[in-house]
Amino acid sequence: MNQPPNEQLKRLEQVTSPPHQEPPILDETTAGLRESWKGLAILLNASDKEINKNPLPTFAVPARRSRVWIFASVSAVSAMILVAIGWKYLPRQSPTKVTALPAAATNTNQGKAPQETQMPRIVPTPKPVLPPLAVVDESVKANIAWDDPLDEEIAAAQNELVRAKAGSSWADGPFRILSWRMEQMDLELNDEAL
Amino acid sequence: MFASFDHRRDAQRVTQWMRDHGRAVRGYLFALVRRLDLADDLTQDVFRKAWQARGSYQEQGTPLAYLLRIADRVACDWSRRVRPELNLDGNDWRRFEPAAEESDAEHGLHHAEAVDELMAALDQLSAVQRRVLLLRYYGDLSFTEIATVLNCPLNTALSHCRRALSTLRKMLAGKFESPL
Repeated sequence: MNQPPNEQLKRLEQVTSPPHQEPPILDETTAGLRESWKGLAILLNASDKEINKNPLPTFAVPARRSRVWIFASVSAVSAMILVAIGWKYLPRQSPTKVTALPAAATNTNQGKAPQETQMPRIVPTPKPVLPPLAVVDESVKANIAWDDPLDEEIAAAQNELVRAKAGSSWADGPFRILSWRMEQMDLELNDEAL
Repeated sequence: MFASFDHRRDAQRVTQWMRDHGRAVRGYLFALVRRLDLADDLTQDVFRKAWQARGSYQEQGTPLAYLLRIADRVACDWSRRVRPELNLDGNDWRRFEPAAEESDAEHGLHHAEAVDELMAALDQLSAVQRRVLLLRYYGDLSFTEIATVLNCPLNTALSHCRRALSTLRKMLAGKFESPL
């Protein structure tokens, strides 16, 4: 069946035209193909009748979602994300108790503006009072007491050192004093006077 | 307000398509996959895809041709999903996907003689030959459209059609004497 494409196309369109439309006179080969087509059409038609005894599946068109709901959903999700971020990253206040004192109790000065009297006051949380671990006898205390001048020397040197670290404009004098005292201590230690 | 009007118009159109062409689409899919339950599922897939693509639908050709194009793609996708190493164009398709009698029996489809004969006739054809004849029968697609669906040259589509009918002629010769 070596025909030009257009000729072949035309013949096959005639062959496969709907079975109830009879095409014009066909040659023997084309008529044979036409019979095949009609036979297939009969089988397909019968098959369709058979399967169409079962109801066709239904297709429900999805309901249209309102844009208001979409906007509300997006807003709610955004708000939740912001709250979550804030909860995680923003610094939190120390657990200081904030109490609003009643106006009658705080408004002792009648001349003050009423806004000032109604401001909440921050009351520091009282430190828990722990019971003493043990009762120490006075005689034992006397034995434990230790008045050592070296402690005072060391404390004074530490103070000088702290002050020297805090600033540098006045550091020359105190450093000299500190140096002198350290030298004195060194001498005393070498002489075993302490 | 316009969006609401568009939605209603699209819904009416797809619902109308389902009423007018649902049986043809199901028949096409049934002839390809040979299982009614599966054909029903794939038919729903076809209309769902048509609904999803409603925004890009252009009224070129008939709606049935448009739906059959989707159906053909859905059937091919299904065959690749089930048997990734096969496709509808392969000869292995027939070996791996025979008619599933048990499944059809479950769904109350009793194979009539005509259905059995149809299946026997389609078994004589390659998958691509089946698609050519079925697209032509159910959708009355032109051969140019069929070539587009099959992604092959027009001459190839014509050859498939001619060979398929020649094969069927040997089987169906003299079987149907009465005119339609």
